[in-house]
Amino acid sequence: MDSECDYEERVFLYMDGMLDRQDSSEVEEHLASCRWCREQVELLSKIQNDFHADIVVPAGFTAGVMDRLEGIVPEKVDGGEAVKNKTGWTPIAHAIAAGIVFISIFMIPGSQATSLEIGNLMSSLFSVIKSLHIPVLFSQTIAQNLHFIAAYVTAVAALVLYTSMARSRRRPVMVNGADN
Amino acid sequence: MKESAAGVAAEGASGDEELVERVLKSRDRNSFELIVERYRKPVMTIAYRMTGDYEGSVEIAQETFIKAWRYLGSYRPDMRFSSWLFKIAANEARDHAGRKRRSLEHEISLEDRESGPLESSWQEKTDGAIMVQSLLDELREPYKTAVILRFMEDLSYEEISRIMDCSIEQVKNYLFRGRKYLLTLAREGSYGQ
Repeated sequence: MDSECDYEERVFLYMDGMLDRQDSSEVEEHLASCRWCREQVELLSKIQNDFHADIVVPAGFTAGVMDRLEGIVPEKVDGGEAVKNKTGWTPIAHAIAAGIVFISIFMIPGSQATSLEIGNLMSSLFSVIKSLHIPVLFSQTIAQNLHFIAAYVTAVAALVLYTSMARSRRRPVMVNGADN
Repeated sequence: MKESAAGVAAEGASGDEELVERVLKSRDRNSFELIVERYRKPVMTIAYRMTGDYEGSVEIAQETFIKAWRYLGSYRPDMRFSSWLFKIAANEARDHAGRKRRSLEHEISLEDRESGPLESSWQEKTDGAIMVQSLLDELREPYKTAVILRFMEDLSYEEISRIMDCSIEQVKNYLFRGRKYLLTLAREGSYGQ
């Protein structure tokens, strides 16, 4: 046979030791009768041997690395918790805290000025909603709870914003594939 | 001392965990130096085969060890240390290749180049070694990384999948298509004849 062979994928798996005994025997039988596959195996083995040609590590490589480590402090990670926190719960905890702070600001009496500004904005939105002829009862409910709605919308927005910022900032050290 | 790219990783596997622990506990530079000695050759091999740039691969290998030192605390023993290190090397090499490509594109756009391409200070000794690099240079990602990691011999499909952040099925696919393309190119170029 001097063209491609359907067995090719299995031959590669066989070369990698990925087949069980029965499949391996089957591939071995096939190899005995298929010149194309035998040539593929030989060629791939040759390429793989050449791959390991002696690549020279320059003299002083190790010393160079050790010199460059001067002044670099390894990140102390106790059982990996620091990294885990950095990319896991810390941003969420901060976001929750930020959300609580925002909600508190709008709940306390002294925060009327700020909440009024938001309230004005929400009033404008309310007129738009009104112009859409949403049932009156529903519109009034919105109007009566503008401060709370503003507070919660702001808190949620802050939470989403903070979380997305934290995610974009995080930089897994060595496990980030192509997007490193 | 001559080091085998694939063999050193296997030989060193038994002592890696202890060395890592010593570095983590007391920032023991001697232990880290042993790690560098042990893995400099396979790391250089990955870097060079992925980029085809010798000077660049020295820099990549150094950066790999520096990152390993800095972030060793995030290493988890559920992955072999060598795989963890190779993952850093592969990422560094991909970054380097990307930067080099962009830089070349920029250079080519400049009309008045005063000098020719940089000559490498090191040349592979055999025709086969040069040819294998020219074949690998033709491979696209992610096939290239998969094939190179597999050629490291010591790495299983599962380890490759963890290094590449993909499934074992994807690794199988990358390896099949990558090697098939490699063989097609080799046949077309009368490889080794």
